[in-house]
Amino acid sequence: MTLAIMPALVVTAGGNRYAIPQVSVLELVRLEGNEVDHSIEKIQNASVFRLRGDLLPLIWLNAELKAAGGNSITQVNEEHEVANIVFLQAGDRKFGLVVDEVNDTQEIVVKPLGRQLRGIRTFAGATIMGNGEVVLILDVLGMALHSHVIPALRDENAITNNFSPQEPVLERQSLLLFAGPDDTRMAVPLSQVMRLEEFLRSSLERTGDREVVQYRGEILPLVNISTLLPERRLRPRNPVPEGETNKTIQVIVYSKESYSVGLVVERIIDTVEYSTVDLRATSCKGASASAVIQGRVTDILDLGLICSSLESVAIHRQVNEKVKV
Amino acid sequence: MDEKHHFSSFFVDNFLFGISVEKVQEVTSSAEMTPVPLAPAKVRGLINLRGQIVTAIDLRSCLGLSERAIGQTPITVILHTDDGYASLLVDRIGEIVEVDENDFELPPETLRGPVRELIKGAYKLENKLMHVLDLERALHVAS
Repeated sequence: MTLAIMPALVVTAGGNRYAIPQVSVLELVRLEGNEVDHSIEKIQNASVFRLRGDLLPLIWLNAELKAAGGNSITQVNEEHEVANIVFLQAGDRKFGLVVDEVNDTQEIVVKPLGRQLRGIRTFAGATIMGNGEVVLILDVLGMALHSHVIPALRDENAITNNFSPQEPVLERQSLLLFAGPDDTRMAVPLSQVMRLEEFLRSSLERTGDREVVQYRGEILPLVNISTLLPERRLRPRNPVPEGETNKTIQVIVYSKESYSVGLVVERIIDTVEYSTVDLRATSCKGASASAVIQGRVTDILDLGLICSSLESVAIHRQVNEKVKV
Repeated sequence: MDEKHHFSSFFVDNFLFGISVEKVQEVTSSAEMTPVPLAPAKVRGLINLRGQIVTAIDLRSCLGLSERAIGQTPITVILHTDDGYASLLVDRIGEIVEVDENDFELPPETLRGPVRELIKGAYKLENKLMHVLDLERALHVAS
């Protein structure tokens, strides 16, 4: 299984945001004022920090990303009035990465970089933030190698045990698995997924006969997956206990040309790599194929197909845009 | 047997380049770009194309030209490749040009330098040459 959705710590360095896989983050330390000079010690030009008895090397993300001959990233913050240190685990080594700012943690959808950038070891991919901004995901091990925190010789063993860039395999497809109504299993190709969001039920509003939610300054129409698909099973396999209603809804955001649609699903489960040759034809409306995934029959939906069929209804708010077409 | 081909044309500096229209997905003028540190200089950044992440390569730096003047925003040409989308940054967009296969010429042997590397040849238009971009080469980034 490829880890394609993961929690990440979002940091800022040199004016740009970067995502660090949470699985590699050990802890965060923030130093202010005098502490900065006191706590960061120097061995010649190498900075180190004592973290509960361990002497750990420190590197500055700004400085590491300033490449000789490559793209120059704006100013390194030489005035160390504040130091935000993210302690990371790379293979069996620990080190501290100094960043300008620690923003927050988020669930991110990992997207692979294009062929042009696969040679760059320091990035594991990229993701799209809520505001549409593309943010690079640091490859912690790659970063450690780049900055010589880990000597190059050992890297091959270490790499196999770690999160490394996804190599898209031919005829394989990343699927996002989710539970539909009555615990049916469904999936959509991850390439069609723009974002995964969770909204409070209390934030839902209505326009006309449609449920909507405010999203990125726009109105996102919501479509419940259960209303789209004729349900065949009468009794749920694993019934949800009575009276248990969730406060939040999970939404898959699909975006195309000028509009976005939020598909409300019961529960987002996982992502899997699936070989497209094992797909079976399906009679389910809106689904492109069926397959057995994790022991369950799973309909693979085509979001494009579904959304185009409901375009006329769901996108009524965009009447103005449609008129000019 | 005069085969007609359609090319989307654009300018970089004074060069007129053409890309077969089938390869061009779309052309946009403003795209937010995320710079990629440590990438080769010709990689200008990453673009969010409706949820897909697209690498933007600057043809000016492929050609060894100086950077664009401040305030001059590049035009982004989104292309289909075997590996999903990729994009090229150009100065100005031209017209869709219909050309006759008979007007195609290979580059002269005496042409050397970055332009020679990037083109397959040229079409003789009425008063200009339109250079056919070799996309494989233009989008290739040695790592």
